Amino acid sequence: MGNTVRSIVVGLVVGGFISFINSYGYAVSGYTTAEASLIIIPMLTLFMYKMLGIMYSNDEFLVSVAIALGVDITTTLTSGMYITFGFLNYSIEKLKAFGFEIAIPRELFGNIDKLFDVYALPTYLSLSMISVSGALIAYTFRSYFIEKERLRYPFAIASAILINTFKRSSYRFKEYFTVFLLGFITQICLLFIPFMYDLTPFFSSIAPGSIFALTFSPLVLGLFLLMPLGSLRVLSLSSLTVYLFVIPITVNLFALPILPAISYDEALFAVAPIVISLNLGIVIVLLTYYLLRFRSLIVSAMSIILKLTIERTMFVMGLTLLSLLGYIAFQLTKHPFTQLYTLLLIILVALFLHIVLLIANIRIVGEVGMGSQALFPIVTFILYLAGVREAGVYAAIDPYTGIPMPQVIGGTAMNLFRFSRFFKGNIIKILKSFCIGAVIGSLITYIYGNILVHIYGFDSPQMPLTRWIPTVIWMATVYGGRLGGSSFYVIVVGALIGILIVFLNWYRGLSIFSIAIGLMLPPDIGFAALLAYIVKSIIVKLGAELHEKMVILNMIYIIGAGIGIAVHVLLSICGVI
Amino acid sequence: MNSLYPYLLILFPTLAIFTVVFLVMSRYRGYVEEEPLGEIRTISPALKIIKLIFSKTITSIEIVIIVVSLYLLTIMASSIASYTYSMRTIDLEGMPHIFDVAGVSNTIDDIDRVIQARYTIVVIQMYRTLIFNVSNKTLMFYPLLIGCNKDAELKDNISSYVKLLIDLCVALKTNNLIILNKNLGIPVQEISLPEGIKYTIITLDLKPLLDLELIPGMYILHSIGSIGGETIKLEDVNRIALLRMTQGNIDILCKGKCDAKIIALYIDTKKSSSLNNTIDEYRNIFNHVIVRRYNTGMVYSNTFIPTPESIVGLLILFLISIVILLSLSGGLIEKLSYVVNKLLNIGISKELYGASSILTLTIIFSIAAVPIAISHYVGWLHSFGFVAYLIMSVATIFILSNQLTRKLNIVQHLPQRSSATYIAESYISVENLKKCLTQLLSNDDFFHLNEIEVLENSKYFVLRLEMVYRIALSTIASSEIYVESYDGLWRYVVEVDVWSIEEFTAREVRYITLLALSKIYGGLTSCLERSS
Repeated sequence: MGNTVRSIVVGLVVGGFISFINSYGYAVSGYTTAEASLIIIPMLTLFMYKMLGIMYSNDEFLVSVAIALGVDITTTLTSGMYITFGFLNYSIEKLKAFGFEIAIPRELFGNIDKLFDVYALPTYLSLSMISVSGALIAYTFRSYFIEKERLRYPFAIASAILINTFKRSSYRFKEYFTVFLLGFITQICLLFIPFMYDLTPFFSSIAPGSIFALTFSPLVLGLFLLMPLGSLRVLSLSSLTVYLFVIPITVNLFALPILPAISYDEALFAVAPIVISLNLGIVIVLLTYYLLRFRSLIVSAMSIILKLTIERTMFVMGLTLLSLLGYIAFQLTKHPFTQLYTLLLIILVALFLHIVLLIANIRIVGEVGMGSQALFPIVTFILYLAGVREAGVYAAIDPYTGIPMPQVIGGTAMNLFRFSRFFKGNIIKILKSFCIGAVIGSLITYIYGNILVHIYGFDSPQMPLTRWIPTVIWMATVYGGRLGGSSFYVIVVGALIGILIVFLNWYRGLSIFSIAIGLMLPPDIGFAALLAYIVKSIIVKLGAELHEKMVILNMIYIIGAGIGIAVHVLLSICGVI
Repeated sequence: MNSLYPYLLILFPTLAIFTVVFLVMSRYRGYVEEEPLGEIRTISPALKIIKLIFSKTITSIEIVIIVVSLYLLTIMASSIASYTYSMRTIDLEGMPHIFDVAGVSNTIDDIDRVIQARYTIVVIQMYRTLIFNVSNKTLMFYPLLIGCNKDAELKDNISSYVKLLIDLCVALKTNNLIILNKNLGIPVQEISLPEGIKYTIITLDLKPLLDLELIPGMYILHSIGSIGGETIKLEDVNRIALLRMTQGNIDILCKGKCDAKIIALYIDTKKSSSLNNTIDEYRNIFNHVIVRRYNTGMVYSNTFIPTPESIVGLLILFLISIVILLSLSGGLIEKLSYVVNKLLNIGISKELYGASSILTLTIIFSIAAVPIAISHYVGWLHSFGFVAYLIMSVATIFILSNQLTRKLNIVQHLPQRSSATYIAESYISVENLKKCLTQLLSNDDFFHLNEIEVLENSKYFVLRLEMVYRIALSTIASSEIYVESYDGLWRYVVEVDVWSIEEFTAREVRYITLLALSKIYGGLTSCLERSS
């Protein structure tokens, strides 16, 4: 019993630390260790156990990791979204002058001077708890994805290899420490002097509307080196194809006025609705294709799974919890009873989409390594088309601009399950620990969000929220109903491209989900993926020993970069920088 | 009381259902799910091979000549480089003629140079809002500073918008005037800004400013970006405050760092014909310059792109490098083919050799790039030359490594089987079969036997084997041998399934499957024959 309590405490401490770093980092630089959490958290946990000199069993280790991961995953849900909605609320006066009429209800941001925002707490905590339904449904389908579809979950495997190496104590300290330092130093340098070589003016003078830049981010490059080769190639090529060919062609096709020679960031913002509309068209076609093509497989898998008692129960529990989203959306609507039937219909469709997207995201994580928000705009689109113009409803139902993200939690949970299998984990115990971590974590990270807003406010040089301005304007555009009509035609173009992709998949086996993710990747990151692909394709052929070494060194590099971010955040908060 | 409702209506039900879910979960004990990770048991010779290829290559005269020729071509590329302003043409038909030359700058720092230049009207959009109390209300405004050239004499066909702007300039007679929109209903009065300086407020009809568009998408009023082709511009004319463009006003409104956009408009007057001079002047100052001739606008931005002549020159130099490479590579390949044959004889695969050669060549050309990079940094070499070197060296690496591995043969078409059947008259007990197979497979070169177990069923036995492929990362060949009897004969069906965390091509997976299948089938038949 004492051991269990101890492992829970270790998990909470590690999770609390990482989520604090991520809360601040998310707000300021957008740099979080989120995707790398599955790599950093087990190492930190191991490190804590070794530092405190505690003997631990595999079981206790897994419980701590599950709890820490649960705490960390709530960061974007609570503190990230709290700061975003708070910033949106803060900008409302200014946005009014530009023709945006929106209001942020008190349940999303209380706008008070006190330290704790008690008005908004129920909303964020509830929506985080509901998002945990993603883990329950992931539990239901884990055998299908791991054993039947043979998905690798590369990040989970890579992390397990790393932990194994350290547990065997067969490491070479000098080598590992050098790489750790390299990751640490390059990341810190980049946080002080961001590297960006903006080629957008050059490219857009040749093909108006094309966007490109060269950037270097150690964390991103490290994570890409862990992804499978096939996914990297498809991802990078689709990202570059979209931003260098498809967007310019679309812009010229519909004669959209794009300002001449704008910078990379402005250009990305300007074409955001075009990218999202293209994405929508493609995703609708791809999802339909996936469901149609694999329906017999899915149905047979479902019938087998639902015969097993535990899985069936988990599925039902997950669905029940998820359906509460509709209830909360109802509570946050201003005049629910005047539009009862429309609201019910929208909620039903949205819930159905949530489940489909959850399954798709779990598959993406298994194939590519990390999840993506690329599929989410479809829910935003449905809500927008149905005429929803209230921030509260979007906040409660939309995974893209709103709070709940059962898909992300489901993907992380699957990674966690896969990881635990290598250490002989009891999956139910892991799931329970993850849920405990998520519940307690949502309170902890919500408080972090409150603290950051209370101490810094929305206009502080220590916590500059400039990178959120485009997002906030985008949210205001959607909530205020100001999306232009040209979006519809672009969706049709996207659908045509989707059909082309379906053909490529049918005849050449091209992975459909990697393409969808690549579309939403900005081209500078797409180019980084291409570089990672070239490097990795050489190293992989050099033999298994070198490959394993590269995997381990790469992960230590990622950890170094993550610690670099953490140190930078701590220095910023203490006012040193 | 009011704040409790969300707790009752939102948090409590969710927490309740979550607790129920958690309690239901706790009912189940679950079971341990396990998966082997697989450990590597062979050392890869890759690094040694790279060292070998590197030492053989670097000492050959051919590679030295190739690198030197690349250097010469790089220097040549650098010397033929010429750049020009990037230019785009836009259609201005239907748009009011507001300028002949317009300059747009995205930072306030350029204002000193702008004031020195020729202009007719200058407008500065300030994005830091101005807040002050007026008529007991606290209002927020976006400042717009306007300055006009007093000596400008305008042509007759100039747009009414220009007259509007000039009238506004004239209305801002003194430095301490603020013009607000008439509809605000604020009487003329004096206010003091936070610094204590007094300003007088007058009101005019500012509504026509809303439609003042310079080029499609660019307005005279503040805009915070364009989204999907639609510019998000100021829509509420009551939020504009016009001030005179003076250094004093700029200093007050823009203390420290501030977000601002400067737009300068020049209209050719009757007397002067200094249009070209103005265009050149503006190109040196502004981020972009728009020149209007009748209904076409030409947008020049201060990004430079290489001239078409430079690009053609680069292409020719690139082709020369290919020609030099192809003529010299033969000798290099001859020298290395001796090494290649020896390596193939000891079992180094084509993929390994190919990857090693690419890596070696990359290292060589990266080291060779160091002097180029230093020259570029110091300023001797134009960036065009640096890019030329990159392109040529990538092509060289690609072509050379292709040629080095071209002569190697691989088996093209592997059979597609993953199962085999053996029918025998003799009987061997499953336990004995298990012992025999374990003995035969435990010291195999390619596979490590991880697990072998027997599963029984009323109809048949199943022998399940799990073998780890030694030459790859966590690759597991799991196979099942179904043993059943019918018609007095014993039938053994072997099925093999390969799974790996690495991604192999289909050919490689087939190769490993066939290898595993052959090992197991061979072991099975020899065990059966031994026992009969």
